[in-house]
Amino acid sequence: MKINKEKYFNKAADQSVDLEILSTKTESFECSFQKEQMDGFQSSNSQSLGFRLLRGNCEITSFSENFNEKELDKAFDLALENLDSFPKEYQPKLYKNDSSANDDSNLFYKESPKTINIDQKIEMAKQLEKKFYEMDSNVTAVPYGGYSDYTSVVRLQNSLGTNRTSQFSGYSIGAYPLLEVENDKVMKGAGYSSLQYESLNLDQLCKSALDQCQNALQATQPSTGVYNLVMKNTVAQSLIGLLVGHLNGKQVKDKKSLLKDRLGELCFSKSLDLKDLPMLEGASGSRAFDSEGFDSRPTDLVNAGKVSNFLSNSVIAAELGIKNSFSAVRSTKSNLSVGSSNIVMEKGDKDRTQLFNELNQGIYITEFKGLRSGYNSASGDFSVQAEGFLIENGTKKAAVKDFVVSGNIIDCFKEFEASNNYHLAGGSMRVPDILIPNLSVAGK
Amino acid sequence: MLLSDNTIANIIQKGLDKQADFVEIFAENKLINDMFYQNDRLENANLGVEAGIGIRLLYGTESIYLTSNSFEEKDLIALIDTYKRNSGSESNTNYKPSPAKKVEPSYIRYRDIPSDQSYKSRMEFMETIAKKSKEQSSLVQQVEVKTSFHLQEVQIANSEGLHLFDTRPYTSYLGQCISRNEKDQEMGFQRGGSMTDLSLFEKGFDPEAIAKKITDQSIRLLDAEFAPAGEMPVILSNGFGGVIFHEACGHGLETTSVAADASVFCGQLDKQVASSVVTAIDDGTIDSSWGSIHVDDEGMKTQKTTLIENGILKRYIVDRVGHLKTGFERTGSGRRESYKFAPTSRMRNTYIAAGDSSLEEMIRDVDFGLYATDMGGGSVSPGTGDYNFAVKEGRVIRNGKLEELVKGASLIGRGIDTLKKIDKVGNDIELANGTCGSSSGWVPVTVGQPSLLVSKLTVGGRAS
Repeated sequence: MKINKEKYFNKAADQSVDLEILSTKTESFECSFQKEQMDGFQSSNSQSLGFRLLRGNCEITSFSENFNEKELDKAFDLALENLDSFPKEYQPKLYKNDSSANDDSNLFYKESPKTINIDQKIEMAKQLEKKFYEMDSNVTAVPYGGYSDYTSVVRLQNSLGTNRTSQFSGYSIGAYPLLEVENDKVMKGAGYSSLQYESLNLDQLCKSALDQCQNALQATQPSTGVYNLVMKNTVAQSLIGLLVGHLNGKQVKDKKSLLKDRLGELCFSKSLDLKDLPMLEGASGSRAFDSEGFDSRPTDLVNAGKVSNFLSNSVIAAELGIKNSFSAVRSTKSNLSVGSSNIVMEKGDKDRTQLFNELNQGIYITEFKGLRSGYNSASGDFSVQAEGFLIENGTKKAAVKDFVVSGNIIDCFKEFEASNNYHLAGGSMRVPDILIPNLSVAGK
Repeated sequence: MLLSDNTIANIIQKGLDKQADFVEIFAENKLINDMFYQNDRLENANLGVEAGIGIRLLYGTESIYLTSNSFEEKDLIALIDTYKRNSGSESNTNYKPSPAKKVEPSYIRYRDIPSDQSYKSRMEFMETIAKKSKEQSSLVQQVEVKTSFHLQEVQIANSEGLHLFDTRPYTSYLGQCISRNEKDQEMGFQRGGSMTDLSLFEKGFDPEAIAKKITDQSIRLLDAEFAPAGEMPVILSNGFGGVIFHEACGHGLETTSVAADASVFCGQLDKQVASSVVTAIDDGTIDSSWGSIHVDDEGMKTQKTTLIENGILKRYIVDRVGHLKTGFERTGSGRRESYKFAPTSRMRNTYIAAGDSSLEEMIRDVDFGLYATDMGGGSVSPGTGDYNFAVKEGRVIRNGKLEELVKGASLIGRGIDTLKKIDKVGNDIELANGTCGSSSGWVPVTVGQPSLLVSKLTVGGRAS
């Protein structure tokens, strides 16, 4: 449905209001099989439009998924009526960003899912399930998983003339096979996402999920104690994700960040370098412009252990008196906030085996389960269920499970060592394996 | 009405012409009105409308689900045409349209509160929490309060002649207080909600009590030690402690898992799956409760379902596709977050029924263990029931007495094993609100239980 956006810009101008309109249109498809029968087939078309109104020091947003003119009028009028109830500490502004640099970049869009025949996609989902049964006779079901893709167009316009558009697309496969061996059951999953259909590798995905299942079946519970741990890069990513939350300027402004008032201070080991890189090949967080329409650009967050910047947008930067990192994020349904794009941690020199050698005796952590709920963002303390392998004399020994690793996210990065390998399968983080000494493990 | 009788009829006929065995339309208009109070002022609002249509075609147990934000008949007919199967062959079935019936409210009530009045009472509610919390202690750094009112209107019609219209009001708050001393920072948190209108902010919730709770907790935790680590007896507190049953057992009782052989409860009907002191219920009909519904998202009148009785598995939680796959009778439990999701079997208000033990008696029975007084969230592997849950706050039990306050632990275990290790069920049942995420999205639910004594769980605190 064609929307008359000009009408809303004119209405806003009549009321001396600055207006930003963010609109998205997404088409997605997913398909799954169970017991060789197609179990789910979903095709979705969705659209949403968000208004952001500013006048004086007041700002408000509203949205509608119904593009009927009457409904859009209602959403606009609702925001206008309530605008004066939302004064800000610092006067928010719109900016004229007429660059279109990188808007068409193939960093976040390579091929439309529409170019792939739907029967081919259904066959991919079918083969995904079938392969598990072929590869391991102990697989009793593949209850969750399948194929999915999406393509979306995001457009940002404002009354100062900013008009930017980006297109995104992606393909994913994922599965959770259930294995049963001698009355013991285990279910483990693996997923893979890419900007290109051809990159989806069923064999690799199935092998990864089945290896995890096999390890879990053989695993025992380690003894309670204090251990040196090597975190696999995928696990280390999740820890870095928590740390980056404290480098978010919005959290700093709202007095929630543990790094509040510590800009420029040495808070971590000198080995820690963290960057936000919004134009990174193959990474899912890449974006040409932020949600205020500014060109995306890299930001040093931690440099040799010192906090060098907080992620910010124009308002947060002004409130904190720091440089804007052009990290504004918002959806059509949310207010202007701050978020990372792709986070990259500097690698070390050693490979994983060399880290094991340094460990001598400890645990190699291959999976965290429930980190989101086991993390206290106020204190930085975490207590999270884990799986992995005991390491003895530098080599992987028995698989271990049913234990809990506890620590504090800030303390973890005061003393650590990084390996030289990243996990590169999609995602928005590039983080190596890390060795963290003296963490608490609760087991038997 | 979101779609006319005529449009409903034409869409269903189109689905039948595609030779579907069953056609269903779920049309939705959801008003969102969220307000965020922070930094001593109304910081933000989230105002808008989520609206769209979900069309489901069933071929046996195979589900085709199509969604759109357009309410135009031609767009919806074209949407069905994007699904190529069986195109070209006309149906022999002629759909007979029926006018929509409005679901008459009985235990979920709603009245439209004038916006000036509701704005005033919400503002007073949020301001009072922030003000009282900050007055209570100079350690308080930040108080955040979110109040929400969501009004979901749904129209559900299917090829079996069902056609109804239902209104579901959700009013809720989240309150959070962050306190800091010279060495630590901690958070107190409280939430509440009900299926009713905005009058709750005038006479339902008590902002001063909420302020005291969140402030007290954030300050208490500043001086708490870390929980011990290892295997030990655990008393799970009443109310939100029920999240463990919900996650670790409840999901395994949904036919979405059972039909896929992805549940430890497969084939266990009429068998002992829990300690004989355990009776568990999933009830959609509790007055104004957060997880209640009059009809489910497939249009079926909901019900009270006894899942486990004295340790014996009695029923599963069943939606339409679950019924088709397993043969079990539907329980009015087909739920979805919105039109963007096909419905699946989901819990409503799920709780373990009261027993006859007192909390004091349970504490007396423990030589060394943990009393988990405030639980956080967790996650579960549905195929195995392996779970992990955060304990936000607890007390160590030594020699039958409550001792030091502790924080920062996780509980891990396997649901079906834990059910068998429940030694005592308290007489102090409470329900608590939550939001449950699964394959049909996030839906409002209530969890609950009395205090429970579990003979052994792995507690992930700090080892020394």
